Amino acid sequence: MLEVHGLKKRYGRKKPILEGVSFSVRPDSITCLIGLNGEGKSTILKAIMGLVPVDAGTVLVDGEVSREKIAFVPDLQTMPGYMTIGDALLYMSDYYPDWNPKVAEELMGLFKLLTTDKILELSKGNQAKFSLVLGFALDRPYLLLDEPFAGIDLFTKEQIAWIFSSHYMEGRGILMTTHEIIEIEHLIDRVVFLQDGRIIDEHDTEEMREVYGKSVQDRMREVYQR
Amino acid sequence: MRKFNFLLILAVISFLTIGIYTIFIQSIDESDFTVETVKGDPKQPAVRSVQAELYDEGLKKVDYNVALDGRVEKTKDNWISGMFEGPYNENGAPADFRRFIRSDYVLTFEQQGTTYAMGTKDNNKWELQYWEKGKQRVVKKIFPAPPEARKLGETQLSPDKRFGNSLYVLAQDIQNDSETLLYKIDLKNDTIQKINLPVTSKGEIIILGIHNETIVYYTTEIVEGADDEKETLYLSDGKKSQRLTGLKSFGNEETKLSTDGTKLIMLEREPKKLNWTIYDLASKKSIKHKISIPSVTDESGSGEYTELKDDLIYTANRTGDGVFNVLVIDALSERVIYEGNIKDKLKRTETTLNSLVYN
Amino acid sequence: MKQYLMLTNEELKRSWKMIVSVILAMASIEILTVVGRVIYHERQIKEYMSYSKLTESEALRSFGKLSFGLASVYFGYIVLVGIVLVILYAVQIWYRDWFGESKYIYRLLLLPGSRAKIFFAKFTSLALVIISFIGLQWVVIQLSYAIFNWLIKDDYRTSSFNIPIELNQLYTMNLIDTLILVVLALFIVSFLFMLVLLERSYRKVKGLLFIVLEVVAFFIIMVGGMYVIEKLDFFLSQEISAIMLAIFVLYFVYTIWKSLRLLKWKISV
Repeated sequence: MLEVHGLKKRYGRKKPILEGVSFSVRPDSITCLIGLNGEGKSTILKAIMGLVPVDAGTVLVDGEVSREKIAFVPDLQTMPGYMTIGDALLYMSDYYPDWNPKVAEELMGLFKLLTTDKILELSKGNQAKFSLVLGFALDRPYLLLDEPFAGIDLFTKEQIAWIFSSHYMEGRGILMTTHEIIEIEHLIDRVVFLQDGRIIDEHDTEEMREVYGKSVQDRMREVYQR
Repeated sequence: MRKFNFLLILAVISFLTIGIYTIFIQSIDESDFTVETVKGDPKQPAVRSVQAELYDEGLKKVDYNVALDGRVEKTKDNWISGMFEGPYNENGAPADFRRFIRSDYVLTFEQQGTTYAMGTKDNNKWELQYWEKGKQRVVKKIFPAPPEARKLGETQLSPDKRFGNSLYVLAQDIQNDSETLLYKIDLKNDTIQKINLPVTSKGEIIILGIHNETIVYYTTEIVEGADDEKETLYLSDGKKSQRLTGLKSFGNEETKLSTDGTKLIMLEREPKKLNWTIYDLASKKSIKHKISIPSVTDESGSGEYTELKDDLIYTANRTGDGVFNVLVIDALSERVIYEGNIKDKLKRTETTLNSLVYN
Repeated sequence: MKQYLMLTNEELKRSWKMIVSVILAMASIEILTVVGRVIYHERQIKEYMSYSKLTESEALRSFGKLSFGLASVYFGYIVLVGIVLVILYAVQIWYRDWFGESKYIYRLLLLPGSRAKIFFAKFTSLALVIISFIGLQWVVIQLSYAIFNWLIKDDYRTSSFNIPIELNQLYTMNLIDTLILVVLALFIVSFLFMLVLLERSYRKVKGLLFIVLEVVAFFIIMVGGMYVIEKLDFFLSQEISAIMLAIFVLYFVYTIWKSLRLLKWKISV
């Protein structure tokens, strides 16, 4: 279980962006952080990974303070500009003991990515796919995805969505932020709604559908258009 | 290899290029000195303690201390060791003593291996410390300042001469032109006695020598309209003073009282010769002496050093590329007691003579 | 350890083109200035000969021979440019990870293991660049001297090898001095690293404020320390040297410690 307890964060004198956010991500499930722009979704992911300092709060992974069980796929390119995909894969295998070249190779094939391509010359969709390769090919029980569907075409979205229902997902707990809820609504196990730096609502999607008879999108409308 | 290629290339470049620099440093010649004795025994006491200080001013800075018996001490300072280098006369002195003599108000004077340091902070107390080279013990004494000296403004105490158990000290107000006062400190009984110099001056008083009650000194006075200060030489027995006339340039050159206190030796240096006059204080007669000295003045400079010390004239002169002639002359008898040549086998012109030092 | 070395390699790889171009440019300019000086000197002598109707040896006697020290007089300025470039590199080596074509800082901070290796990889890169600059500059001096001797007529030059006084300060012919020089350079690098990491941790006004505070604190420590020592009038010059050296070493360690802490706890992507 990935547990987030009482995350607090304020930038300068502005209103706090996170005011004590707590939630958890179960293994073998997909949890989606939902909120309008600027609600601090990305900040939560970065805070979990220690990429921004927080004013308070803890992150526990299976009861321990260890970030090395989590893979993170941000919505931007993190490899140096001169690298080709091949260079980047070598880089990953050099630095990460839990890098799984077999998974990387399979996903490369699935996404039809070439090792000779320069990363920064890839299309937006291929860049997103490549980022996913880098995330999924790490043998880690938890995976954080920041806006994996932002700015990519329908077919790519479908391909990515397929991954979420594939064997690559087995046993993994996923936490993602996204605006594009429709394409993946059927895959999500849990949703966490954020507003003004707090969690305002939290549901198992199945329960929401069965008990309230509402889709995630319906609930989003209710929450944010109040 | 792929993982470390750039790192390796740069490491190899660093290593090789610094290696080239190191080889260059190693290949720079360093002077190799030998001493050739022409006359006299280099082991006699007056010569044994003498060392020539030579500096290599070429690319590589090296200091040499060459003793006349052929011992050569070589030092290459780096920036850090340079920071920790103390003045020559402080070497080996206990820290407390060094701390005392570094104060602004303390003046030092060295005689026969003992350094005397004196000063006063507030005009009420005089502090004296002295230390003999090679020993750990420092003698510290505090005296109440004599009544006349308390009236001075900012007082500077200069220890000037030790004779037997007496240390002679000059006291002067350095802010105002005032009389210079002379005191004799009895180091055995810890008493201070004022010595009256019958003729004094509002200007400076310079003691040329003290021996028992005999004091030879001169006064300086600014004469209106004249460029130079007027200097007058006196001989005093502490009660009355006698003006010594007919002697010139005693103030400009090295003038000292002979060790037996009977004669005044006045030394003048000319490019190729040394002139000195011996003035007998009893008979008031002068005898002039001269000796020609080997020295060259070419584009590399002459490189010379001359000093009168304990009736002996020590002079070192460059006589050729990497050759320095050292002469020790008994001033009273005009006898050369030692002559030797310090020779650099490599004849480096970059190595120059700085001075002679006495240990 | 292996990761640290690989990261150092990566840092150098990313700057390789820049490093090589700068070295080549500086070396070429230096050699060209020597060639220029030689040509200019020979031309001056010829003009002087024809103007004053003098023989070559007479003209040389009154005009003077050209020494290598004089021919390489511009090297000091080029070394100064090199120093400025190294300072810029010490800043750029961090900022490029935030403001480059990609956000490599994410990758660096997420690497398994301690973040200290990121700091030391960049630090080692700078150290290697500085040492190779010092070494290569010496090789260029030697090379220029060979070219100088080959180019100029024997009568027109002085026979001994000498270098301008500014270069003599750098190349004292004492390897310990070279080591001290490298340590001093690395201290400056470490100080700059700390300032950059302060800005990258606190950003904007707060970042600037912390930078100012650190710089002011540094000056207070140094100047204040000197002032107190001067006022106390107690310490011997060797003791003062030891105190200053100790302050320097402690402050050097502090800058590294502070940078590592910022990198571990405060840094922000």
